[in-house]
Amino acid sequence: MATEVQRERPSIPLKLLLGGSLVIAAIVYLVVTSLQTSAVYYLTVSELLARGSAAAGQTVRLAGTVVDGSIQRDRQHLRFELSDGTATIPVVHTGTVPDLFGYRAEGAYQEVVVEGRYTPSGVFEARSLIVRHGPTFEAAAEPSR
Amino acid sequence: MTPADGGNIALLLAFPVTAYAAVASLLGVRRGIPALVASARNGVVVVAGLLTLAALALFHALLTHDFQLRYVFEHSSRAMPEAARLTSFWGGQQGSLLLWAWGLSLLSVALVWRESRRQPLLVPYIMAVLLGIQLFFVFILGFVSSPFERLPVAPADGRGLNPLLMDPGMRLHPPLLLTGYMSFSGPFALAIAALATGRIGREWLGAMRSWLLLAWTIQGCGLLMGAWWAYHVLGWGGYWGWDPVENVALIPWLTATALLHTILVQERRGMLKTWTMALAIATFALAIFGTFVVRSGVLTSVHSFAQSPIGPYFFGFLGVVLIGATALLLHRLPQLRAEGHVDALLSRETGFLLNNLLLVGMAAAVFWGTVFPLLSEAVRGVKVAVGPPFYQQVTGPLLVALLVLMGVGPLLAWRYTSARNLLRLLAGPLAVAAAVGIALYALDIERGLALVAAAACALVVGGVALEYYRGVRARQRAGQALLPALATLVARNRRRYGGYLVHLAMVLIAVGVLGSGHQIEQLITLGPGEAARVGPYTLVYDNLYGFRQPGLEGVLARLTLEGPAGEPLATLEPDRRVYRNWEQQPVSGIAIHTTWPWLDDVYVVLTEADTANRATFHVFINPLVVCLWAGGWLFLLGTLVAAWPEARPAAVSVRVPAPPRGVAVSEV
Repeated sequence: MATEVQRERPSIPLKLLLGGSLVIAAIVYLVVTSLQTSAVYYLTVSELLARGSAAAGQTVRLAGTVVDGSIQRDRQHLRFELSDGTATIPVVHTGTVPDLFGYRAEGAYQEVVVEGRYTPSGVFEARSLIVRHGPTFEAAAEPSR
Repeated sequence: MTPADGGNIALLLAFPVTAYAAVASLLGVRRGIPALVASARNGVVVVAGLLTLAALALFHALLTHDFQLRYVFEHSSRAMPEAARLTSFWGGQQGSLLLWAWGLSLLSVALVWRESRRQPLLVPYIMAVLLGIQLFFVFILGFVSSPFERLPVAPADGRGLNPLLMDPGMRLHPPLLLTGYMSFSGPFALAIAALATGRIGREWLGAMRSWLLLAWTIQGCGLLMGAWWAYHVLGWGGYWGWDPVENVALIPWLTATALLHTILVQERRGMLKTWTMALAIATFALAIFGTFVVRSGVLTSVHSFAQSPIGPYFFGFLGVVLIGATALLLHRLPQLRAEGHVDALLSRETGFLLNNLLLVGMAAAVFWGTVFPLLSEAVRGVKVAVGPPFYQQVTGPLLVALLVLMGVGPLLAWRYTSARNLLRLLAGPLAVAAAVGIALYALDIERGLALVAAAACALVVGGVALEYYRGVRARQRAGQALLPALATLVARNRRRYGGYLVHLAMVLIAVGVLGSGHQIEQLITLGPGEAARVGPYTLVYDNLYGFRQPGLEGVLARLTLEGPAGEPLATLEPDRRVYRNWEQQPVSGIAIHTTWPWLDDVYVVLTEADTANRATFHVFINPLVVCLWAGGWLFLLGTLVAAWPEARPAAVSVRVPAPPRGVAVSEV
């Protein structure tokens, strides 16, 4: 009998369930719309160039290695060329340059990820620059003797 | 035999002992053989002893430069000072997992010892679960990824630790997070034991609450330490980057926060039992997921520390945990029926339900953002990246809603609150909130969501102040002086008033977050003697000076910071240093000065210096970030107050006047 009584009166009233569903729907909506506006494509240099002018103006994240000797700095800008082994693109970056950038270690530390826009002039304007720590955060170089 | 050999043997022995004790505890309780359960209990202690030996052996190897051990070779060097070499213990995967397992063995001893007195019937199951988790870790450590792996020849020196990990902040932050992840095993073991036996009483709720509070506090401190480390070491002027490794540490903390609140509802009203269990299970699974993500590099992340073959094992273990626990939960569902009902929409219960929706919703959103790139790549074959804007857009409104709820919730009465009484109570806090909101709007400081958030902060402060005021006044009416009244009030209701302190800590943290939204960033290049203005402050550059310390050398720039009226405030000395063995990776020493009374952090990074002693600085003005760290200390204080055992009821009681009907009498 006790179960009958409980079934008649749920522990959480209908109104509250409806209200809760509304909150959940709002959160889902928030997640979906934010993801649409802020998720960006993560491309290699060749993939970006293959898209050509269609990619112009779109914010994308680009991974590649810094071409040796291509780094130029002035007061406000950092210029370098980014390559994925087959294609190369000039990058101009304004803003924070991480500690690890530009130090010619054996391999891993030259790999960077930039986020920004591809401009019709063929230059990639980066807003953020991350140096990728290869696969490990541990010693990448042989110990110096 | 070297101590390291001894450690290795202890680690290998821990596997069969753990397996035996796990089986013995289950067999003992199912077959009714007390001797087996007692033997399992001894097993828990033996495992703790063995893992302590293993941990001490690794510490010893790091201190004595036993570079024959691959782990010591890869994570330490002769040039490192002693304290930094101890840090190397958790600088890599194997050591981190050993720390996890060692911590779990000690937690198991404490939990079994404590609960043997409070709820002896559950203990065999608690042991079985804890030992089951332990079995997985000692298996990985002993047979898949051992900290005692040997190199064929002992190298003369080690590689050392990455300079970014050498900071003192690194000594506390990773072990705190690893211990936090590990500590969620306690609530999980309690939940599984309760599901297995069907015994969910007051004792159980009390135990659940204390062990959860412990894990929650440790994880919370770990998160704050992580933010502190990022801010003081990484040099990008921020403290939280929504990096996957940060996210996965935040998610279980959010679900644990929800769980802490549902326990109150279950205790008071006998409701939400299934939900409590589900949250305890989910929190543990998320903690395992977090440990796995940090230590496997499955998510593309700036600090995916290590890639290793442990991934499949972790996924397998996670699957066993989730499937097993869910099956048990479904099996027990009929016994988890709620005893109470939500009587009115305007009630404390509703407040807690909404709190849970928001916290779990936030955890789910962060989780989704973190795994979305993986799913997108796997399902659609498109690589995408989800950055900070997503998390800010999603968590912003949810945080504001939580703040508002934090202000209103404690004033709601259990069962039923009339709208009139609620408004009467809220009048004061609302007035404070409105005043703050209008002032910030008029001064053109905040707009939009941030303005609402700031007003909500004021609402919470007003509400907490009101609660304290009402409690103290009741005692003052009974003849107590102000300070003794405050002391007894808190001492008698540690959980409630400690909880309010934690709410205030969250407000401080929110204020820090809001303040840092007004960051000023500037890149300046100066010659010796030149000055530059950044925001209201002026930086006067003196010159460059070289310095040398054991294991590192560097160059520092001396600057004088001047206030708006040209008055000198501080000498700042940002530097760039190079650690031996890490010549290709110079590290910035950041200079931070917090100004008084405006609490701006002047944050200076030396990015470049040329031969003519011209130096380039990256300067940030970060308003109110210091509130974050103050909030961290208050958080710790609040949880200590809340976790301290309740005082025994004193002989002399104070009469608290009966409150008007429908007003909160919250003996949380």
